[in-house]
Amino acid sequence: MILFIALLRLSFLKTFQYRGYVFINLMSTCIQVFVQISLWLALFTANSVVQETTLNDMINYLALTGLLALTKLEGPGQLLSQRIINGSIAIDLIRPYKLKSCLLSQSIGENLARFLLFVFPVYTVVLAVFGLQLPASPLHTLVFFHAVLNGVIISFYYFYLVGMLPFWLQSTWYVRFVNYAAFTLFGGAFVPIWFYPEVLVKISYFLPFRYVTYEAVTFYLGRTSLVAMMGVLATQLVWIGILAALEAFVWKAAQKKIMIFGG
Amino acid sequence: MQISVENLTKVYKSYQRGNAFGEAVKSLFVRKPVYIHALKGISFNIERGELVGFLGPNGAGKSTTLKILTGILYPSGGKVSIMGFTPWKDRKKYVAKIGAVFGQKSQLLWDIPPVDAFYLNKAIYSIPEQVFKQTMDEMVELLEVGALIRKPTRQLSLGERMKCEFIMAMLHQPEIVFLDEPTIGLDVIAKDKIRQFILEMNKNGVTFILTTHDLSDIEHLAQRVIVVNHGERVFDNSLRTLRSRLGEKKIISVSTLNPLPALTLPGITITKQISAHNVELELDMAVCELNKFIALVNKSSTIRDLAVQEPQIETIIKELYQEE
Repeated sequence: MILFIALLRLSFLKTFQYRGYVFINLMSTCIQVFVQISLWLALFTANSVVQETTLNDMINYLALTGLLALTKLEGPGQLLSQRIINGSIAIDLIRPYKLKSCLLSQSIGENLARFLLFVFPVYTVVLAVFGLQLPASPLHTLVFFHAVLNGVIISFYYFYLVGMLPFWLQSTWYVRFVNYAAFTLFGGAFVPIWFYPEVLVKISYFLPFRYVTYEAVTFYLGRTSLVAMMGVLATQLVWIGILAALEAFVWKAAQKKIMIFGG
Repeated sequence: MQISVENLTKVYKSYQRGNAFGEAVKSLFVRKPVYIHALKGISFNIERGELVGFLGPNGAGKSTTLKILTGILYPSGGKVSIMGFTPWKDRKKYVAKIGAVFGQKSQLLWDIPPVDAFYLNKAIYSIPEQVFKQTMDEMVELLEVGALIRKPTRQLSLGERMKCEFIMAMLHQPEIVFLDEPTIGLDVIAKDKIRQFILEMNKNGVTFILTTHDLSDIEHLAQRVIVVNHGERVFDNSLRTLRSRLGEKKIISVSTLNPLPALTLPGITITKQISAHNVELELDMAVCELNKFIALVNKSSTIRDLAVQEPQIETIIKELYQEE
C-alpha cells in the first residue's frame, strides 16, 4: 500500500515536470472540444431537437464523456506492452512487487494529474457556459459513480489483456489503432450510440466498450431508467468477471513462455 | 552451499521465416518451428561469498543462465536451488533476497532523480528507515555520487547512472548479486570505482556472479571463472588455472645489438619479426627454459633489451571459445 501511494505520487508529480507537454495538451484539448461543439452547434441550428436530443443534451454528453475519458485506464496495459517490447519487464520480475498494481498506481497518478491539468478546467468552462444537467436523485448519482467505477475496472482489464499481446506477437503498434477505433465506434466516444443504425447498436451490446463510460453517461442524462440500469450494472460485473479470468489465465501462460528481448 | 545448479537446460522455440517474398507469404500460413538449445545441461555450485565470473561469446548461454538464476525465465529442465529457493517457483520471496544489475536495462526511473527511486526501493523491499539511511549514505560515499543523486536521472552520464544502478540493486542488502555486463560502455575511472565497490561489498560477504565481455573485469574481480560455450560449461576453475592451461608460456620481446640468427629451436614460436634486431616470440618454458634461451640469444647476438610478459588472457579465452 505504501508502494502504491509512493508510485501514484511519483507519476502524479512527473506530469508536472514537463511544461511543454502540459501546455500543448491543454491546447489540444481546447481545440478538440471547440471543434466538437462547433459541429453540434451547426447540426442543431437546422433542427432544435434531433431524435429526442437537444443541443444541451448533446453538450452535456460530450462534456461528461470528455470528463470520464481518463477513467478509461489504458495506461497499465500500454506500460506493460512497452516493458515487454523493450525487455525492461526483466527488471520487474527481479523485484518483489506485483507488477499489475504498480502499473495501475502509476497510471492512476498520471491520469489524475492529466485530469486536473487538461480536462477539468476545459470542461468546467464548457459546462459553465452551456449549463450542467443534474442527475434525478442522490441515488442516481450513486448508481452513476458505481457504473463509472465498473467501467474503470473493465477498461483496465481489457487494456491489460491486450497489453500482454507482445508476449506472442512481435509487433503490436496496430493494436492501439484497433482499440481507438473500437472505443470510438462501439464506446460512443464521439457520437452517442443512440444515433447509430440498428445493426451497430445490436453489435455494441456484445462488446465491452459501451460499458466503460457510455452507459454511465446515458444514465446520468436520464436516458436509462433506474431499473434498466441495474441490468447494465450486472452486465458490467459479468464483463469484469470474464476479463479478469482471461487476464489471469493469459498471464500464467505468458510467464512460462517469457522471452526477454534485447539480450 | 548457497547456489547449486544441476543439469540446467533451456530450449527456445522459434519459427523459421524466409526472406524471399514467396517464403514470407508462406510463413503466414505454415511456420516451421526451430528449436534452439541455449543450455545443454549446465551444472555448478557456488559458495557464500564467492565472486564468480561468467565468460562466453555472444549467444553462448550465459545471459540465459543468469535469467534463470534470477527467476525471470523458466528453464526447460534441470534443478536450481539458491538459498533453498527454486527461483522460478518461489519468485517473489526469492527476489527479495537478491540484487541484480543489468548493464543494458535500467532500474532507475528516467524522469526522476535517483534518490527518489531509492526511496521507491525502500518501499518495495520494506527496508527500515534506519537501515535504509545508513546503507544509502555508505554506498553514496563509496561511489562518490552524493552530488548527483538529486539530479533527474536523464541528465546523468552513463558512468554516473551505473553507479546509481548499483546502489539501487544493493540497498536492500541482498545476499547474492547478479551482474550482467555491469561495466559495459564505461570509462576507465568509472570502471575502476565500480570494481572497487564490488570488491568492498564482496569483503562483507556478498556473493557476486557476473557476466562480462571485458576480461579486465575478470582479472580485477573474479577468483573463479566459469566459461560457457555452445550452452555447455567448458571451464570452471580459478583464473590462475585458466592461465596455466596455456602451459608455461611467456611472451618475450627481445632486441639485440647484432642481427638475430634464425630461431628455429623447439619451444620457440616467432609471433612478430619487427626487424633483424628486434623480434617478438612465444616461449614454451616446458620445452626450452628461459635462462637457456637468454644465454643462447646473448651469445649469438648480444641482448640490448628484453621483456618477458604473461600471455594475455584473451589468447586463452579465444582458444577456449574455439574448442568444440
